[in-house]
Amino acid sequence: MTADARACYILTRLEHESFQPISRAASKFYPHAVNLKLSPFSHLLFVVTETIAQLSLASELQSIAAATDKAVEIARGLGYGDDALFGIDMAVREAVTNAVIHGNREDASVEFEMTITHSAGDLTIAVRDRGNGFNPEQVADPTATENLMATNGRGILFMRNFMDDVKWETHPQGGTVVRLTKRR
Amino acid sequence: MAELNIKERQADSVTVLDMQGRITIGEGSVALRNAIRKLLEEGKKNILLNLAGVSYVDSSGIGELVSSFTSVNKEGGKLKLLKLTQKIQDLLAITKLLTVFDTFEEEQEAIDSYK
Repeated sequence: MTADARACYILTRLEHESFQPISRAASKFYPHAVNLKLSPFSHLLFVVTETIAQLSLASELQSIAAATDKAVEIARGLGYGDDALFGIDMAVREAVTNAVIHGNREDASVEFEMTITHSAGDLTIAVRDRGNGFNPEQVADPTATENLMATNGRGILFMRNFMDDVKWETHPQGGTVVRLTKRR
Repeated sequence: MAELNIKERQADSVTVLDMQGRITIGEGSVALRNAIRKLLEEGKKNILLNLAGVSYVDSSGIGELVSSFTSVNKEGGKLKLLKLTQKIQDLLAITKLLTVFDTFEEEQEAIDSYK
């Protein structure tokens, strides 16, 4: 990515049809960028997202380490420090574990997807499963006294604790996407 | 190499498990579960987990520690933790489990606490 591209800020949604001509125009200047996003309040200010890696893996336990190691390797390459890498490791592992165990119910014939993007200094790891989704706000607080001795239910706590932003979305083609963002 | 290696030794009335590796979903968590089950079957109920060699624990591993604590308690024993790395101490703080587990830096102090 060029210095100019880095100076841009990601501001918009590529999917918005009316913005696509501008996105296409921008792609001439930033051909390395897979996603170009446009500000909702200014069509002049572009933000460039570089997709660094996309992988699909079978929903089995050994895929958890493989996906996590890949995310950490990329973050290390981008210059994240040891503490940040530890946090990314923890959060991605939990997100992928949820996708494999809860979303795809350890069905090895079903794949989960991980997409890693980088923009304006932010690293975002998106993990998509094919499950029915859930409401993260309805997950019991594992730090509440009555839940302290539960043997599971701490994954979301770790994701939120170790990343700067965590969002869940329903994918238009089905499944749930969790987006984990680590800022510089 | 196994994800988690566990060596058992006896110190007074306490069984110490020296653990080396990672306690994560799958192999690591299962190894810990099996080790605790075996000790309880042998009637060894005072258990000290030496975590000095444990570099990483995920939420499944934390759950396994809680499960082990509960299993040992049910049998009338005590499970305590020794030599937590800073990272694992942080995880137990985040999960508020430092209020549940007895943790020690010095082994002799830990052994004495069972008397």
